[in-house]
Amino acid sequence: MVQTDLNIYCHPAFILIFGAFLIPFLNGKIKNTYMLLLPVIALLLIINISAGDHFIINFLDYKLTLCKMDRLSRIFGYIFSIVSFIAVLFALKSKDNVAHICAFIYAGSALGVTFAGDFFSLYIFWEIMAVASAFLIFAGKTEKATAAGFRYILVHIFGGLCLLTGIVLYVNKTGSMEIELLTLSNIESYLIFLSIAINAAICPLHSWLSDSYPEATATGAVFLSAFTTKSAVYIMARIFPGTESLIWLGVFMTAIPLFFIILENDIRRVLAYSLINQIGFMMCGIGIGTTLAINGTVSHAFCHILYKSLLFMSAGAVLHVTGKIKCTDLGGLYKYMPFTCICCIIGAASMSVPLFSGFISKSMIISAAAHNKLAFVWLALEFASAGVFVYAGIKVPYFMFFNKKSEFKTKEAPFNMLCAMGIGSFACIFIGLFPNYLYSILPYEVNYIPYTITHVTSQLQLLMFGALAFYFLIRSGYYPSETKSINLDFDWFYRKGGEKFYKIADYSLNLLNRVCNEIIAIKLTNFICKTGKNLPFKISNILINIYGFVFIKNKQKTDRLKTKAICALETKTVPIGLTAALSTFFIAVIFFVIKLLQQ
Amino acid sequence: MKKNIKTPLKIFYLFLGILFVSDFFIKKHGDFYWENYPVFFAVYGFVSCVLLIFIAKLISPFIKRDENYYDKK
Repeated sequence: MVQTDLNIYCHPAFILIFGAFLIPFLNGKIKNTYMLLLPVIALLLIINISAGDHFIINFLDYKLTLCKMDRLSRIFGYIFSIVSFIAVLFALKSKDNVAHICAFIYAGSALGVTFAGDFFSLYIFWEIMAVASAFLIFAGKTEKATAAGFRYILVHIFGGLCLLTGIVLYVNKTGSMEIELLTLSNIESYLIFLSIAINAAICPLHSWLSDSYPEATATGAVFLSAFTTKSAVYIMARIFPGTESLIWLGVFMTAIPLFFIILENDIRRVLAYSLINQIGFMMCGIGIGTTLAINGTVSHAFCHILYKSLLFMSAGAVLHVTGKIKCTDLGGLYKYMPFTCICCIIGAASMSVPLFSGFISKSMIISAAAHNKLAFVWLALEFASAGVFVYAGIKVPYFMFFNKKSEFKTKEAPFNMLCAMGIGSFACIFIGLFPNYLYSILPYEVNYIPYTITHVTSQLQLLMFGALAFYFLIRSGYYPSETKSINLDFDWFYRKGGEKFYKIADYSLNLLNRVCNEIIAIKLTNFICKTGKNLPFKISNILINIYGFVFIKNKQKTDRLKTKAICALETKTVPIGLTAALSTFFIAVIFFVIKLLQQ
Repeated sequence: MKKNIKTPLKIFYLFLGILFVSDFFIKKHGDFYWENYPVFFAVYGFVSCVLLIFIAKLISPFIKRDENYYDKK
């Protein structure tokens, strides 16, 4: 039974999920228009749905709420549908219909997670999201992409199982399916927390992200950068706000990726690590849990989705045009791809430079740490803020578009890609210039002014002198040179560990198999076979000996009888009388044994 | 290439100079006392970025591997 409100005819998630299946039947301009229209319809629906619970389904004894609309879910709904539109526009020319369908299902299930009001529907959309996104990685269609996709799906299945176990325990205990605030106090809350932490790529559970996203297609990575981690941020903000351990996990998460960013050669992997770093800021904000911190987290998620997708788009455009994505292979492309270069710089600047989007959102989280007198957290976040801007924000455009003369004489990226990047850039600058539009849709009322003289100058000093350090280090040659190499991350434990486990299992189980084969199949069978064959001869021998000793008392006669018996046994011509006598004797023995035992 | 970057570099240095000097004249009401020291952020930004490279270089022998590291059987 579905009870729908008058102002909601269709769930925004279903528009994208079910709408996706029509794509293969369409062609040309109709297909393009249709694909672009789906996220727009979803966005319009989200704008028009009134606050409250909609799409309530009675399932078994539980009430499932598929669409819980409040200020927190609405803003995530907005940004998910906006970025879907941008990413679809970017991927419009792709001929891979399977990737298109998966991308829509992925985006739709992210909306499903966002609006889920109960754990059951959350779990369903959570799993759809994991499977659909894995296919975007498989769409890379290289050996590495396939392997990374399998590792990705394994990690997410593990996360999904943790969530399911947590939910089952929770529902068993409380009798309610409704998503409510939880504190880390019992096994079910820890399991739910763990599964969200995996999706949010909290260190050290982050390596699935840096492992798999860079292997996706140029267009698929844009979708991937937006949904999985940010929907986890949303769920974390909904269920675990104010959990203190998140502050420290967040700080750890902002710091660790910085070193990988510096040493990494693959541009998209640099972006993946900077993504993890930015999620760290959000986790800190959720951990602090004050209204300013939650507002900061949500607005930073909003801005971050925009500028990170913009950065993934510019990297994707370069990959699409040149086929290369490593620092060592690229450089000097600003001459051939000026628009992409500008968009990339805007995306990078949006991490924290004043007048761009990240400045007005990230600083809310840092201010929240300061207001709560968390000195170490504040210092760590400022440190990470400078580090990620310099080593991801400057490194990415520098190594792609400058650094050295270009080896490629290419054209600009296709028009649809430029349009998508243009829209992304516009959004980043617009939010940076007019933050009040974003502030007005945040979950709580905002009393925060980002543009004060002290704030602007202090942030500019932090970033620009960081940039100066970068310049000096590059000039002096102290900056670690980009080499064709990879960096070991926590995925080493399951990639190499898995290999070792396989080898150990292979050795030990096969050893067991060999030993069993030797003992049971060869030795025991041989023994039984031999004994079975020789037993009649031995028994007849013994019996004849006894018989000879008692009745015949002549060795020669006894021997003759033995030869006769052996001959009869060998030719299977034992006189029936003898066999019957033996059988009777045997039964009699058994009878007496049983009698004895009964007494 | 070298000529290309000379002018932007001059502007960059000028900008840094203005930022640095002006900081001595701005009144601040930071949440922490050190925020009120002049050029605290400039020094912190510079030192952070140098420190990061220093640590990254230190750990790089432990984590940097050949590109085919995982493909080797």
